[in-house]
Amino acid sequence: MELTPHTPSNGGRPRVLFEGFTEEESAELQQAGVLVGTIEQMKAWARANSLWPLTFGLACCAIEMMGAGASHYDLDRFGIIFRASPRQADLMIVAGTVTKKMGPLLRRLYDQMPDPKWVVAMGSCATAGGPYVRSYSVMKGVDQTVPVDVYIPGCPPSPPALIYGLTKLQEKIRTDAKRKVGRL
Amino acid sequence: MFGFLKGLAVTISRLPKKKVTLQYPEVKPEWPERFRGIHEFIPERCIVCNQCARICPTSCISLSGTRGEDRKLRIDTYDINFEICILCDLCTEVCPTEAIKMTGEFELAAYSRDQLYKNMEWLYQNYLRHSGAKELEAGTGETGGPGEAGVGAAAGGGAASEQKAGGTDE
Repeated sequence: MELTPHTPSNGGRPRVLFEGFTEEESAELQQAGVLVGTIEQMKAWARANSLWPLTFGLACCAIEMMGAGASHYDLDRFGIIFRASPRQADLMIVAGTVTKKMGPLLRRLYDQMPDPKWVVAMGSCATAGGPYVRSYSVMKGVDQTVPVDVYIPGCPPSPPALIYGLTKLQEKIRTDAKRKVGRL
Repeated sequence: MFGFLKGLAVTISRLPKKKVTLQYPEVKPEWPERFRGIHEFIPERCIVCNQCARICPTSCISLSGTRGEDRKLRIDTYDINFEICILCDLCTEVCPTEAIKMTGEFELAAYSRDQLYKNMEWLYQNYLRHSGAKELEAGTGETGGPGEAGVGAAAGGGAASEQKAGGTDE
């Protein structure tokens, strides 16, 4: 499904070009008010617009994550509603320093999440260890235990930076569905 | 029952007031002047004194330079491992020529960790996108610091020809 900028020729309405259809067929489908897409694309549309993150706040990044959820930045606008249980979540925002003691628990919570699931590494600590990169007790990035989809650098990243990262994740969910390489 | 009404009274009293939510993806936030985003780097100003690399608490800066024929050090490579950069601003504070500065750029989320390694070319382009663009708009706009005259001329030349060309010839 592809949108073209609207032109005066089609009455100011944006013209939709569906995949696998010619231009005339697409115009006819649009006339009839029919939308055509793969099931994967439809699922991706739904998933990308209702990401329910598991709050994995471990350090100061969690404060920024809470700030992003509060009224000034309001993650609810994007359909992102924090859940306190891994069973209800499909996204894990790892916000903060993951110690080697916490690593196995992080993995267990990830395993408890139902598929499809995504992980966002928020901040320098979750990405690569950050200021504790030479520490004996801190994991050098959460990608050592769980597969990470989006890395957000910053120490801590500001709420807009987090929102930008989540927008990138939504983009990724949509593109993966198009490429048909999405997970499950 | 009364608790419910009390809560509702708060909700209703908020209704006519101004909305506090910032429309971030549509409207870019206005940061304070000294907001710390990712760095910008101006290679002409760098004197390869290594102070930024030495003061960096996470050692995320690595640089190298060579001595030219005029006995002056020229920067060759300048890399910031932004994965572990904690944006402490110390590199900016110690830099004697203000070659490295912070910008308001924060949209840096990436799909892979490799994309968070920023080299000199990227950082110079970042300069052109931020304060470089502002300086060019306001004429030369160069003030303070040693060796500024040459930099101003170089920046002015870049403005006269083309901004993109000014970036690639570094």
